[in-house]
Amino acid sequence: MAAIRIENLRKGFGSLEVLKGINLDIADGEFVCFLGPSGCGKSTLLRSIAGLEELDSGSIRLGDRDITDLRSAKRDIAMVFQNYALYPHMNVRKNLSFGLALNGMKRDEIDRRVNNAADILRISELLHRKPRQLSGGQRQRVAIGRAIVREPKLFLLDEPLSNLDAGLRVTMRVELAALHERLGVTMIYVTHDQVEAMTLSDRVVVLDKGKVSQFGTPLELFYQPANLFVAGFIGSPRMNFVTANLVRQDRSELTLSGGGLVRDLSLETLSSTVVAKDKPVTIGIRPDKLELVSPEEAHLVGDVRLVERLGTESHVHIALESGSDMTAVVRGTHPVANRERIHLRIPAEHCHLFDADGKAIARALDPETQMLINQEKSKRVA
Amino acid sequence: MDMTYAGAEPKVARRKRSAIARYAAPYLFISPWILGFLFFTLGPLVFSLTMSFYDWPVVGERTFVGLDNYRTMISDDPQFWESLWITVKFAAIYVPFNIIMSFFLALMLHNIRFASGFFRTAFYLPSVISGVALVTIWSWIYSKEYGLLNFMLSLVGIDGPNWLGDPNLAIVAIIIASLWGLGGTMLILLTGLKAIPKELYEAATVSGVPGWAQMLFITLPMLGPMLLFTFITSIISAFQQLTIALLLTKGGPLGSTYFFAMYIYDNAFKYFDMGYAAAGSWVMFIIVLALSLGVMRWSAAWVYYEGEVRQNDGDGHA
Repeated sequence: MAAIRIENLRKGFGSLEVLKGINLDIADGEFVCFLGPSGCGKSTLLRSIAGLEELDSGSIRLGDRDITDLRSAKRDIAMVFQNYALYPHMNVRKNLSFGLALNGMKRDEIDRRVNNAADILRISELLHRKPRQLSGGQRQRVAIGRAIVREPKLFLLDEPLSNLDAGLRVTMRVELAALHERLGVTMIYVTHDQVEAMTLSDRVVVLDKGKVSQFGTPLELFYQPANLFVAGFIGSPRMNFVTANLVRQDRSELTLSGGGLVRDLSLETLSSTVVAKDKPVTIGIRPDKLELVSPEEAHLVGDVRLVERLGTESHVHIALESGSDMTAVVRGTHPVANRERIHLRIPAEHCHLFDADGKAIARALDPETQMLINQEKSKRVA
Repeated sequence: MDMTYAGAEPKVARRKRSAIARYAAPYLFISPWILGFLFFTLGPLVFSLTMSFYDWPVVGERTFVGLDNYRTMISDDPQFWESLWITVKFAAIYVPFNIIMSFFLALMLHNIRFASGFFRTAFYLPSVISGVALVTIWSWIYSKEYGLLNFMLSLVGIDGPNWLGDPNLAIVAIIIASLWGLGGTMLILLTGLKAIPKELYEAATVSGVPGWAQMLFITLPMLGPMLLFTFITSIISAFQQLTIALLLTKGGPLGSTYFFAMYIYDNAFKYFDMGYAAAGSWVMFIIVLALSLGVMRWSAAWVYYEGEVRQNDGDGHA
């Protein structure tokens, strides 16, 4: 068993509190990403699990063992560092076997593990080389190999692909996913790249200013963001936000008006949701869901500032009449041009709604999306 | 047609001029150093080599003697061998102590979090003090009757020896005084320690590599080039040992601190035999050069350079 339970973990550096009470339950064999902007505490959290940072308070359990006060070496973990941290004066074989040899492991067993890891990562022909004689991708494989030979219960990966070029990153991402599938070991992966997090993870922990903003499957984060931060952070181009006022609530139907809207917008929430009338709400809409319509159908009006043509699609940056900015994604051949007046409709079924505190107001998803999310969750449980 | 031809000539001349300027400009920029090197390094070097083949008194006629100075020194001058032996003994103790103590001091300064800047300055300061001031301080420390060292020993009931008057202790006293200036070596090693990525240690820690092994298998190999550099410079400075011995013990007692550099100095400025002294300098140069080359050769086994590719490392293609 290598499930991880983190309870009320706090860590600060001097007067700066970096982790402000983290609670997480990660299942055995799960691939979990810690995702967040720079300075959100994701690397500190990973290093705390690794035992490289001393906690201020809280506890960490790995399987049925409390590892909070255990030395790093005793935690049964392996870590892959962002800059590989290969010993430059040792060849690849020595890099892989160094830790094992010093822990008193027998020569035969070391050779078996090193050869096995080299086979898995296809680096057998590189074993005699020094790190400087390897490409970025090969170095990364060796760094992962050094983790594999330990046969740990938990892999910790700290932005392992961030030093690679875009093409190699995609290749290594696929290889990492295959490696996780093959080894079936719990992996925690730190990244600030949402594409990596979304494609690799069973679940993603989104961190914001030292707190868990949301912990869910990639599709959950995308379709059911728990708050404004997650909604804005997940998805590219980022979600658009428009403030509005609640003018009427008729059971589950809300009518929004004013703010950035030029026409009332009615939408359904879950029947149990009660929305405060005197406070503004924020409407969130993904750029690809905005529709270019005639003036009489429009909820938003603005001027095109810039059109970025990417081929299959174009990103249209719009300055709204209300003063805020917005991005719409249209088909690549759409004739929209700079400085053109543009009218946009917000399809109610694709809207996200957030209260004045930035928390999501629950809305029903379309059945197809809901089914996908359920499938993703059940796959994780299985 | 004429115009083209007439226009081409100055163009060629201009190109020629600019080529000369291009070629000469770098040398002009470094010319102050070249002049300094010619007049103050290469010139005296060639001059001293020439002198070493002459019987060259300060006053009187110079006579070409060929290799006689060298022959006499090696076969008929016991003081040459004695002073050389004292210098080798000094170097054999001073060099390892200088490097080991500098290394541990650097390690300590690297790891302390409190007042590291103060300690760094405090340890480095003695190495910038002038030799004469340093000797004055140490002559006071070593004084038999009024010395600080013997006073401190008396506090624990030990009757301190005559540090500078005992032939067995005098060289130890000079070694200790010389080690006082290890700040420079320490600073070089400290810089090297700071350049080692901390992730290497973290990776080792996670892998369960104990602290002593991290020191042995990560710190020392990564410091290799710095250790080699300090090794060679320590050998050179050991062979050049003059100021402390000259001012502190004047080569005594009973010639126990009569270093090779002092032997050269005496031949030059006491006996005014410049040719013989120059020959001595060249012998010292050859010994230091041979030792340095030997160390360089030996270092291939333990010094690692980031950019270096050795034959047994593989083909080097990434």
